[in-house]
Amino acid sequence: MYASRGERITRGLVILACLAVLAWLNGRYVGRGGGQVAAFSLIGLALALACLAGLAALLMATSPPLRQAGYASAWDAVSRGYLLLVPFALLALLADLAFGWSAATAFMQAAVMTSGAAVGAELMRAGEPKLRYMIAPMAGAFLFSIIWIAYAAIFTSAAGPKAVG
Amino acid sequence: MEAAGANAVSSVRSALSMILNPAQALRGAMERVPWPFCLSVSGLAFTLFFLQTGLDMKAAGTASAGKVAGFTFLGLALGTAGVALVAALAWACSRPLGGGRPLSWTVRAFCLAYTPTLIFCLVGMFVNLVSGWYTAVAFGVTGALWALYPMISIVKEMTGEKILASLLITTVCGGLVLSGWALLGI
Repeated sequence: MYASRGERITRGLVILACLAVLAWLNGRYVGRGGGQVAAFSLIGLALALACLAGLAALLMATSPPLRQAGYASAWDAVSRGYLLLVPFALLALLADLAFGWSAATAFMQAAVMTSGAAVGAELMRAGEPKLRYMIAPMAGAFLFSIIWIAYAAIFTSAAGPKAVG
Repeated sequence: MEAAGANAVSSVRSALSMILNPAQALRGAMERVPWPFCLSVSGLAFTLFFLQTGLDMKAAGTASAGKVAGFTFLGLALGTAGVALVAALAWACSRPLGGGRPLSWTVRAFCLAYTPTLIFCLVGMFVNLVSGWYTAVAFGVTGALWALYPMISIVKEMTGEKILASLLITTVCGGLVLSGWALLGI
């Protein structure tokens, strides 16, 4: 059940890189100029990591076996599920840079929600295969998704209207 | 008759399990889910996805009714033959990694992985027709992205839980399908 220290660090770095890519792609549509894009990306990255830490805490609070196993175990479940960010981040890069789609938000939302489901599946795999294990990770992922939308909206309004052309 | 009914219920259950708990569907009797059912899930999903793309373009004045019909058939082709080819590619990539699942299992599973896409596209179609909003990206692309979750579970099953290989194969397969939409539909 427990991951080694090396595994934990690798998974953490991979997730960090994926979130950075998704935040940057989102920032390109929200911010005006490099400074705002960088600010959006950095704040977004910190917010996303806080959301993942909160999700691990939520899992611990709602699952007695995880509470017994400790925070590291909850974080392991979250990080295993959120490895699913990898294909989303790479495909978002392809979509944005190769095809020119402005769909970074759709990629972020889908990445967060499906990764939430993957966390639930990890919990079901580790414990009993009951769908109730899905509720907390999906609720947490939904909250993360809403927080991201709100963050982008607040940043957009604070940054002012984007120049056209 | 009763057996056929039970099989139909089991097929629908397998498809729905793919949305939230694909591991459960994959552990079940995937081989017993009929071919036509599996192909109809991904085929209908992409038919509706491409139809919405065509309708969006028609609303924007960049496509005629004939072009919309053409897009719809391209969607059907991508959702059936295209998804089967991508599944065959994933199967071939997983063989050297110790994958023991047969090709027929892989194609069935890949087709059913597009159950979330089908649901998103059904809702998107309704929204498109009722409100006239552009729905291809909001519902179609989002639905196609949701298929990555069951897809990675399938690939993990095929590679014996080798996570790095599974992530790479899933990215390539998802990228091929999305590129198919980008190249055929836009």
